[in-house]
Parts: sequence; C-alpha cells; structure tokens
Amino acid sequence: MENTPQVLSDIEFGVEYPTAQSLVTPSSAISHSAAPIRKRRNGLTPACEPCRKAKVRCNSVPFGSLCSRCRKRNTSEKCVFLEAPMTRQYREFSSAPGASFAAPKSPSRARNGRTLLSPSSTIGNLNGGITRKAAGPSGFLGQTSFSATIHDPDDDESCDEREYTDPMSAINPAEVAMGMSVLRVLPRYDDCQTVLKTYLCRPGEVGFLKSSMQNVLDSLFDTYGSHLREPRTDHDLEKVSEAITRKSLEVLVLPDTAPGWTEGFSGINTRWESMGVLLVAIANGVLAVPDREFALLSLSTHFSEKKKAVLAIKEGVEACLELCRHNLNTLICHLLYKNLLLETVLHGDSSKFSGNLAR
Amino acid sequence: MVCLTRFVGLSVWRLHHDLVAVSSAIGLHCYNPCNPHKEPGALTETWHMTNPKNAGIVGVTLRTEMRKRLSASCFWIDKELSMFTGRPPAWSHRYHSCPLPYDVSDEALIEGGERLQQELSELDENGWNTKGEIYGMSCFLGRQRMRNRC
Repeated sequence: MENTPQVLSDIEFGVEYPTAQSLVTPSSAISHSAAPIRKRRNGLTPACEPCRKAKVRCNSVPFGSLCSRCRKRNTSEKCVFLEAPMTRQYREFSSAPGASFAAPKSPSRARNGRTLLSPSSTIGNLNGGITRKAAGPSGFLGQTSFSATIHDPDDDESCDEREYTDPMSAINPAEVAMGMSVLRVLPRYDDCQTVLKTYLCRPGEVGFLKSSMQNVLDSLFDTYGSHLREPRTDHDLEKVSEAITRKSLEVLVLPDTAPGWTEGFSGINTRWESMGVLLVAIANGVLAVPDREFALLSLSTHFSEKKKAVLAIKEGVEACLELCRHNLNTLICHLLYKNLLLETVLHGDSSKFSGNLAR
Repeated sequence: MVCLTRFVGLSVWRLHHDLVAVSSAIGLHCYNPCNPHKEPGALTETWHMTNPKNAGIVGVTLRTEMRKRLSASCFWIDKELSMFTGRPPAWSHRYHSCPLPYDVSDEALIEGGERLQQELSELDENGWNTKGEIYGMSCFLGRQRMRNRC
C-alpha cells in the first residue's frame, strides 16, 4: 500500500492514543484494528470524515485504506474513520475529559522525529469541530444556548454540516415560527401600557432612554396594530413576524440625533432586538406591579401568578436573542444586559422582587 | 437588602459571559468617536454621521452617550458579579478605554443642539452636573468613580 501513514511506527513506539478505540486511520484499520469500525446499519461501509462532511461516496477499498478522494486532494491525514459520530456513544466520548487532551499528547511524536501530521492532532481538530455540536444534554452551553448559536459561520469549518442560508437572501420559516411565539407572549396593548408605565416610573433604569422604550411600544402597535388586535390569529402574527424578521436581517443604522436614533429600531424598523428590550421591560414591569393590580390585568386570565407570566415573557426574550443572532450591534448588547439583570432578579429570592431591579 | 444568591447561579454567569463576548466583539471597550471605523463594531453597525464634513470630530450626541452608558453598564455589572461571587472579572480595566458618560439629563440628550451644549458647558471637570440634579445616570456614575478610585 503506498503512502503508509505514520501511525504504524507510532504504535510500535508505544505511543498511547486515548482515542484508539474509536479512531481508525488508514491501514491501521486492517493491521491494528483494536475495535473495528462496524458496518452501518444500512449495510454500507462507513465514509471517512471529509467524505462524510461533504456527503459524497467514500470508496475506501479495502475498508480503512486511503480513499481516492482524499488521495486526490492530498489530504491523507484527514482520511480518518470515526465510529458513527452522531450516536450517543460518540457524544459521550467526545465530551469526556480525556478526549480534548488528545493534542497535547503529540509531543511524544516530535521526540520520535516524526514531523508529519499527527493523527492525534487530527483527533483534536475533529473533536473541536464536533464537541460544540454535540455538547450533550447538559442544558448549560448546549446547542440551544445563546453562545452556541452566535458563532461566526465564516470561521467555522464545520459550517457545511449546518444548513446555512445567506441571511439576506431568504427568511428561515423556522425563525418566523419562533417570532410568532414571541408575539403570542406579548400582552395586550392596554396591559403593556399599564405595565410599562409601572416600570418606567421606577428609578434605576440605566442605559436606555425611557422615552424611546415607550416609543418602541407605541410605534409597534401603531404599525402592526391591526394585526396584533385581539384575538390574535396565526395568520396575522405570521405577517408581523415575517416583517420583523426581515427587518432584523438588515444592518442596524443608528443616527446621531434623537428622533432618528429612536426610529432606527422602532415603528416599521422594529427588530427582534427592540422587541426583546420591550419584553424585558414588560417583564420587569409585571414584577413591579402590585398583586392587587395584577389581578386587574387581562394577563391574569392566562397566568395565575405573576411569576408564571414573567417566566413566559422571559422565554420570549430568549427567543428574541436567538432570532437576532445574525447581526451584532449595540442594541443586542443592550438586550443581553437587560436580560442578565432580569435573570439575576428571577434567580434570586422571589420574595425580594421589590428590590431595585436595575441596580 | 440585596439578596446575594441571585448572582451565583450558573445561568446568570453564562448570560454574563455572553454579554461580555458580544460587547467586546462590537468594540464597546475601546470607544473611539473620532474614527469609529476603527472600532471592530463598525463591521456590523453602520455609522451614520449627521454631518459628513465633521466626521472627524464627532461631538457628544445621543448615540455616543448611549454607547458610553452601555459600555459603562456592562463594565460595572462585570465588577459587581465578581464582587458578589468571588469569581474573577471577565473584563479588565486595562482593556476598557471607553470614557464615562457625561452626567447630562435624558431630555437634553434627546433635544440635542443648544440645550445639550449648554448642559455640557455646565458640567464640572469630572463630568458631573453642577445644578445639584440627580439623573438616572448620576448614581451610576458615582459607583463608577468609586471603582476608579479603588
């Protein structure tokens, strides 16, 4: 077999691969198959990583040898076979503490005088690309967390695995659906007014203009009022959601002076960022409303307790954050800031809600 | 009495670091009004100059002040969280060169023009207003200055 990889000699030197049981490099699959890669459930032979990512047929014959595509592209070091990376077994493995330290093991290779690309550094790369996607069910920094979604697709080699559409060209229907759920959370206009007034008359609102907050609410209902009238229908909400999603894809332009500055993100320019800021303000307002007044709000017909209403609105805020990940700007930064403050309040003792919210 | 447990949650900590990541990505830490295009944030946020001739000398406007306020808020919450949790801050003051916002009223900022100029001229050398007014930003500025002392 031409182009015998360096793995064989490394194994002779006794270099320990922490991942040996799940990694098969060309030719070592045959001679040193500690745990041979099983056939796929559909009976086909597994593809090597580059071919799997590119979703093309991989003709590794005999199985485990360098496939013709990798040979042609001269990327023999990448021609590795991982056991079904999407299965639970691999996921647990890749998030295991030992896996990420595959790369530091490579100095032993330098000692052997091998300067060629090391398989273990390949493991490191592959793990780096996969771990984020398969962070597992921890709930913290999972696939659904904000920081997981905000990564720059241009810098990401694994972006071809994602369904990536040019943000300017098309609107993702999933985003429109998500936006509809945000709009469903938005209380009725009169509720919004009462609650926002309660919030704005409290001291401690830092970092945002009170008047512009009011303006976001007023102009939202001025612009989309006919669609947001009760009872809200899915058809109407879809239209509003689509318009806002479309707007959110545009770059935020904030002029220097006051009217333009506010108009940049309200009215027809309402974006998911401004929607999120508004929802945070409303959530804070609901917390600040006395219990007796809360019973008078029509919001109380849907939610028996204030906290339940706030948590529902908070979910809307999180959805907004997810929706406006296409652009980074000061407004999304502001939304994150406000969301953080709200989170600290919700996380604290619920009996101390009346404390200074904005601190 | 502030309930300290509200800061220790993991979700709070994660959100906080998301905030730091985004704010430093858009360049809130290195405010540069004279040449905003040098700010990393210029990549994603178009800067609109009211007067292209004066693009070199951007004065105090609503936008610049809001940016400074946001920067100061993010910086402060970082310190606050590390104070209450004992964890290290995510944002060193060595990398925070954004000036503090001026102690002017929101109304003046919105109105802009002469009123803003007048309020700015009435500020003392540290950026405080001399009329004895306490604006929303004033208490905040107090904390910031305290931090600068330490």
